[in-house]
Amino acid sequence: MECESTYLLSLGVLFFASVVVVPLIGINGFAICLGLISLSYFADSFILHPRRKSVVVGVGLLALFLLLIIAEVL
Amino acid sequence: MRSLLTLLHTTAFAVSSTIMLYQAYTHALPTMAYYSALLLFIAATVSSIMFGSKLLAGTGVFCFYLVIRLMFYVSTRFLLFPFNDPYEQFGVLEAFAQSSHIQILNPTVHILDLTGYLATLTNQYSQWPGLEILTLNLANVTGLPLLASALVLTITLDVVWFAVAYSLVSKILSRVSVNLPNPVALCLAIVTSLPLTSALPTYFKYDFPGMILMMAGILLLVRIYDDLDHRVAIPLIIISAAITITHSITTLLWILLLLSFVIWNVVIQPLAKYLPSSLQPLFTDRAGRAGVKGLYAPVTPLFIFMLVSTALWWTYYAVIMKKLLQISPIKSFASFSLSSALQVQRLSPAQGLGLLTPPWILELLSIRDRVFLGLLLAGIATILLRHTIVKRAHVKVLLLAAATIAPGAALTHGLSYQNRAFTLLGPLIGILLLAPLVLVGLRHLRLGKTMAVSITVLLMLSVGLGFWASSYAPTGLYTYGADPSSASGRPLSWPAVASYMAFSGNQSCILTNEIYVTSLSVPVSEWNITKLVGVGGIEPGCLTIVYNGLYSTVNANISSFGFTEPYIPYSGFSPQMFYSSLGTHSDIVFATGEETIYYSL
Repeated sequence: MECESTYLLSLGVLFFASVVVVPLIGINGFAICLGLISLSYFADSFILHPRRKSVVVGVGLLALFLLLIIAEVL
Repeated sequence: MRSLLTLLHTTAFAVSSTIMLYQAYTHALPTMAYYSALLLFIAATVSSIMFGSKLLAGTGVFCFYLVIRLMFYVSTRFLLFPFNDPYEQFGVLEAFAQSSHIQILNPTVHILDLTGYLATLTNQYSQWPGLEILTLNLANVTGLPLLASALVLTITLDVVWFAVAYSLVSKILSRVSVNLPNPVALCLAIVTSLPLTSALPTYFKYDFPGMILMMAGILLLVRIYDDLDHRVAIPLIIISAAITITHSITTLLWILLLLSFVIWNVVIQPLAKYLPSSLQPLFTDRAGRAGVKGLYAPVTPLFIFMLVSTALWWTYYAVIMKKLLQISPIKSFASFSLSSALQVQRLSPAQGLGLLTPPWILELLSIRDRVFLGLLLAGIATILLRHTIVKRAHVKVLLLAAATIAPGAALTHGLSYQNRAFTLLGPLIGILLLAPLVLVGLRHLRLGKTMAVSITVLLMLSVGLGFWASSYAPTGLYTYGADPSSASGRPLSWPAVASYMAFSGNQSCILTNEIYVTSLSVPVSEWNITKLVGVGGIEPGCLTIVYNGLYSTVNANISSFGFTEPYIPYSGFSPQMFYSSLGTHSDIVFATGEETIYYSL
């Protein structure tokens, strides 16, 4: 399987787990879910380092997550 | 001939180790026996580095490293862990074991005592449960009691630290032009004999596994850059996550180190062609200068992963960090400073304190500190000016990051934690210390070897003598006039302690190596013991206590998690108040043949 395909597939599985499985085990909260999605995205990018990946998605996820965290802390 | 040499060296290692450990256990031999064993050990180790094989040299350095640390453990009969952090963390461990559940402990639940003394801190330590998880697993696998498991784990971590440090130094030096014999063993002999990696024995504390994880992370990072081995990316992610749940300040340091790589990758490398030609080799490899791209896995995603995981953990689990960072982010940053190691302003020993540690040993330690500082500065200059010694740009980035972060933190004059930073960055700074010796060796091999031998002997001698003379204590802490902020970030008044020691009339009593330097030793006979907790009996000799009013986390600072001031130990000290406090509440922690250690609760 090409690196890009593996990357997209694993990303899909991790996103699914973050959104569906995590609430099932009792963890709730949009910020936590978004944090896990961000973690999945950056871990996957580091491990598989695909040549083509969307920088915009990464920046957007990080910005949204930071906004939620700042709101939580303040 | 070769096998005879090996046999002689290993015999010397074994004999010296046995004598030193036996002396630490029994105190039965004359002091001269300890000094002789130490000299034999040093001679054998240095000789094995200069003339022996890689295995023999590594074995010698490892034995010396382990013996110095084991001396504390064999001379102590542990009933509980002494000193603040280990004491509290063991409480967390017991709570986790009782409930079979890893959780943030309720601050109102008292684990080890009914005084409320441990409550808030236990709550704080439970928010980084990495060490407790390791210990519980060890206890479950081996069937050992919790205290024995914690002791075994601590000593095991010592061994693991050495193994990881050896691998890291070996990996980095494999790409460095070195002509000195056994450079890895030589570097580790220097590193493990330096102040702060050696002065304090390692305790059951969460920053220790954090350090080891981070060193392993650095090793994997170097592997990615050196060998383009991307298979280590998954372990690197796991290690990063483990650091996040194990120790807060190590997490910060790991983020800073990754940040230096991000800046190098994203900013410096692309702009390197605009730098003066003399500076280009400092930040770019040959491939980079030739315009070859895509060789390295960018660490930016790993850096952001760490940011996100840390933010998540601190916001939703380790909630204490929110308050702590609001109180003093500077102090949090500065707690991995090297201010003690870089402090050269040692005053001569004066009245009182001179009785605790012989002046000639203080002089020796002072010389050791100056040599260390000079060598460190020379090493930084060598890396910056001699590009041919360390050729790989990422290694230069790593070394310069280590050489920048720690002194930078030291300049903030905040909380300094002595052993933490140096154990973390020790192997990297060890390579900086080796660099000037390598440079000299490239010009004059014999001179380089002579310098290497002299410095190694000085460092090993000072750690061996300093350790013994101060009786398990970091002698540097007891130097009269030393900047107390470098020790714990808290003001101390040693003359007051010294006055008390003179008042007690028993000058053989020692101060312990209590990390926050708030304990006193007094003769057992002078203490009117009214209450004991635990199974230890009263031993003749000295006892050491933590005086209630001197202990930062017991007083009002507890509401601010122990980091706010004012904290004025020994201020207004009076023997009456001292005895009054001792007579009412105390908790035995451990006892030896010569001293019994108590906490005043």
